[in-house]
Amino acid sequence: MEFNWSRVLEVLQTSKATLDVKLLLMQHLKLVGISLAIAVIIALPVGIMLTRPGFKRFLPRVMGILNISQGIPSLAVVAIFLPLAGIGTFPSIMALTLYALLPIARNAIAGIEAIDPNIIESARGMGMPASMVLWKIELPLALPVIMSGIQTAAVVTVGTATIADLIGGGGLGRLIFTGLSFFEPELIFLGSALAAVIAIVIDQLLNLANRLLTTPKSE
Amino acid sequence: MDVIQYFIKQSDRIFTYTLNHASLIMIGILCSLVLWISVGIAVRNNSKSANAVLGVGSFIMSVPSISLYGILMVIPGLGLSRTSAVIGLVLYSMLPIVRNVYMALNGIDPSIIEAARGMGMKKRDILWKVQLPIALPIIFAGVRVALVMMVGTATLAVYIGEQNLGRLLTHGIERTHSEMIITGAVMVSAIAVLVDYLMGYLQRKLVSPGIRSGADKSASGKVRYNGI
Amino acid sequence: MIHLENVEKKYTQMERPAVKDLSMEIKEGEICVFVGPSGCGKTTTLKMINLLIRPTGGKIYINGRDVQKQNPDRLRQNIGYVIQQIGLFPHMTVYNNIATVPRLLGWNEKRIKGRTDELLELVGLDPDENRHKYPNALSGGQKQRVGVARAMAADPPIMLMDEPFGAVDPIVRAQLQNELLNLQRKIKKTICFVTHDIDEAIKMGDKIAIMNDGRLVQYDTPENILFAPANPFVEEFVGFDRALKVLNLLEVGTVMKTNIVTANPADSIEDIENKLKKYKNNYIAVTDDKHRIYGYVNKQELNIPKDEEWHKRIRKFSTTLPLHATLKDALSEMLQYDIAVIPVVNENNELAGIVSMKALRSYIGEAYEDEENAELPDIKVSRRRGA
Repeated sequence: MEFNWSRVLEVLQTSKATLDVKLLLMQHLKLVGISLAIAVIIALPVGIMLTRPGFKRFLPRVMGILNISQGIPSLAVVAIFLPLAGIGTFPSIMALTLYALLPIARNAIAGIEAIDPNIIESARGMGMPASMVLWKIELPLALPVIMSGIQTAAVVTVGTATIADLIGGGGLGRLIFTGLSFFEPELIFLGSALAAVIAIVIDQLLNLANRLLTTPKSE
Repeated sequence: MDVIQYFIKQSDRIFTYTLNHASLIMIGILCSLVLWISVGIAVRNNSKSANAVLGVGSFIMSVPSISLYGILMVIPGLGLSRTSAVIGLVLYSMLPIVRNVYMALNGIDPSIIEAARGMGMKKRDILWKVQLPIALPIIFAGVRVALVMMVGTATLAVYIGEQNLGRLLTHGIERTHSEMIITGAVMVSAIAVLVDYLMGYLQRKLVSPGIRSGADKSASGKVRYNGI
Repeated sequence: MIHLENVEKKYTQMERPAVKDLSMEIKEGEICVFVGPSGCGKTTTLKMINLLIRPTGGKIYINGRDVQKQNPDRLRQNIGYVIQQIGLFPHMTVYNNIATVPRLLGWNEKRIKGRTDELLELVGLDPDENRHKYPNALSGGQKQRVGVARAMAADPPIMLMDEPFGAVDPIVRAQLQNELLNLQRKIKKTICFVTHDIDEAIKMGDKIAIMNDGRLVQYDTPENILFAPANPFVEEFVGFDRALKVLNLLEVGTVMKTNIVTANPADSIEDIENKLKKYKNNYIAVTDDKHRIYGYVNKQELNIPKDEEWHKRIRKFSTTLPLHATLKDALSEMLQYDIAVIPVVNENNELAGIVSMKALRSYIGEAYEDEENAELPDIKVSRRRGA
């Protein structure tokens, strides 16, 4: 395919609805933002709950399922929502949320399980109520790992959102798939490059946030 | 059910797709192993280069795979070809494999290395006879992650010209053909899970009983992966 | 103060109970040491007192109240708890670690600040230097001290300590033990202490509870455990060097001879002669007018009856012992200097008494001579506290 750089610039400046890059960019970010937020709201509490004494017995089974599901390709997850929920923003968000649940839940569980049990024992032994132990000890100590999980989920979601256009979600995928349909490499490149840039920027931002939030336990 | 009927009717095509999927992955993993294990070994003693390499790998991982294919596609000389697809697969397995090789080699109890040197073993022998065998479980775990990921990445390689199971999904979506989508989704998921399980089994069998660790659970671990 | 009645702990997966039929009473202000081989149930027992483990049978009372009927968190807020691995919160400063329980109890920050400084001083750490440090900047010994300070923060009347000094090296351990004993002299808490080290038990305990296989084998004073072991298990557990262990338990003050004849450099040879005759000794200790130790003279080296220059033959004692030295120290010095007597002096170097090898041997010998009819020696046993 021939590649024309001026065409790229042209597309960037266009305001035609189907190719309005700014609009698609916003759409993409919205998809990612909403799905990630929902995923965090669901996966974090569930993950934390599974580490509580009452629910610990479910943990191995759930972890097993989570680990197996990790291998399922994102295209499959996105595609399956078509027969299930049709096309549009809503099915897209559902697919993205589902896919993001995994890394968040897994890291929440791993982060809490990794805490030195002696710390918990001395906290309980001092008379610290269980809820306080969770909020003041376990969560702060597990925070880096939890944040890392959210970071992973964010990057993955940016990626999955790129193919959400297949089921009508819009976003930068629109550029890519339009380019593929009409044999316009410039569009493909533009969509791809922008998605890549967003993914990297979000990754770096969250990385920074992670480092800022973590208490200076080391000197 | 309609899906099963579809499956039976299209079994020839599905079979071809599966073969293509498998052959792509096999080429991909072979290239990855040769390339990334070598890189991992090369940087094992140099933390600066290791960090640089891991940074690059991490960077690549953040890029959505379809974007990667999109960019590869426009590079003159590549375009829509199996080569591009393989390059995509290989680039994605950089991080899991290099990282695990590096961590495994550096995570060995230093007293073991010291004992080997004290016995008069040459650096080369130490690498091949002591370090790599001990590092094997962790390296294997990294390969397992990469391989499972590849099942997914290969699915999207249909956009760069491949004719594999991803086609069932993409065509299914285009034509709103539910049976096709479901067949496709089930097949790729099943293959991904199967590969994971088999690798886990192999891991247990191949690794010396003396160093079996928690690494033989499923393809989990701290590797951040982009399963697209 | 702490009353255990037929306490039992049985885990469902295990055949034999971890703790069976345990009844004992721990008096207020005492250090009770639980000791025994691994798996004997000592830690399990300790953890049942603050309900970290729930008994499957029996009752535990603290000051008459059944612990199982109390809110566990509130119960534990009034009991100090120290474990071997300490468990300091790595994401909090030393100050915040120590402030934990006081904050739970609602103290105001000013009071907490005062208390933390007080505690840090008490455990031998400079408050200004250490308050803001994080645990990973502390040495093992320092971490232990912060752990103890944290447990004492709200000034609980009871402390539970599970091998608190196990994770540090022997020198630091001895220091920490002495410091705890010193502390206990000032603030009499009721302490339950678990260890697997019989020497530590003897050193620290007012009472020792020897456990084996979930049962209480002997609950007695250290002296009784050493002199009157209840059965062969206790004997063996205590060790065949029981005699030496007793030596470490007693201070020289108990066996020293106090009515010693002393001479003064100003005495005449006749005075010396009289004194020697009166007390039938082969030597005589010489002290100055303030009764401070000077040296000694041997009878053989004197020219009795005429020796005007006897004071030139005063020899110095090779070594002396302080009042709080143990018999073990005495024996050690005697062997080292190859001497049979050592004077005991107080802080002002005044002669308090004399310890002789003969007295030492007869003392120990008497105690073990006839084990069946072993009577406790008729000596008031004082304890070595903080060196």
